[in-house]
Amino acid sequence: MTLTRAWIALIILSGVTSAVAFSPNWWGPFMAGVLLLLIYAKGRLVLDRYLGLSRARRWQSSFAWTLALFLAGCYALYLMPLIR
Amino acid sequence: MTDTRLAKEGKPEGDLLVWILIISELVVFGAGIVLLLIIRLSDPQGFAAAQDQLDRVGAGINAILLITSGYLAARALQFASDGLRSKARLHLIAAAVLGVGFLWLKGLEYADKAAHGISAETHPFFMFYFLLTGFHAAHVVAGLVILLLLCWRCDPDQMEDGIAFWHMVDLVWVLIFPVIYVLR
Repeated sequence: MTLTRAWIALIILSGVTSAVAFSPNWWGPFMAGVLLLLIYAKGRLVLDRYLGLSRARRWQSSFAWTLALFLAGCYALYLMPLIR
Repeated sequence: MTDTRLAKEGKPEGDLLVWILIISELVVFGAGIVLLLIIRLSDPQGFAAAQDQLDRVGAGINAILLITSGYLAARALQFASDGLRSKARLHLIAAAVLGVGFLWLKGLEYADKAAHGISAETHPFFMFYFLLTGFHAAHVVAGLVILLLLCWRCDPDQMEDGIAFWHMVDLVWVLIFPVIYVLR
């Protein structure tokens, strides 16, 4: 993916993130999951294309796993009040 | 090229010290986000009500400003590497202008909160809001100074490190914008 395509993808994903902000409350847990997936996708684009980690496979993989685990932890913390 | 500068083969471009800085900053902001979510456990409704007083549209515009600014900075690095210094400078200036736009919107947002009597002591949510967004804004200011220095020197080797810092500022906003403004 070229830098320009990465930028366009980031703009689209940011637009979707803003659209999620106005979603109905009863979709909360589902939308929170979507939101965290959007953060992951945007984070990967910035890391891989802007910061150039796509040229450094091990670093790319380490950052991707750390980001995924961090966001999974955030989702668990978000869900906790709903399942208590 | 210094001893700490990472090789291009299989490793990210830029100085190792810059990557240590980037990882440290991400850990600090990540810890802030986790703490916010932990404190939220005791009062999710209160946090949602406090969050509803934020300007989500303004924050979304700010996300687009920073993403575009990061893109222009990355293009500047490409131009500088190709020896096109004037184009590189132009892109760095445009990136800095968008950064100033980000701070201007952030200033309006803070002024609006102050006008409504909202401070860090109003609710625990606002303590995290001001702490995380304020700390991030301080990084934007530092990034702007770096961008202007890069514009002056226009050395591709130095640009790699400075622009990596600017992308880190971008990445932090990608993380904190949805959690603070949208997740409810």
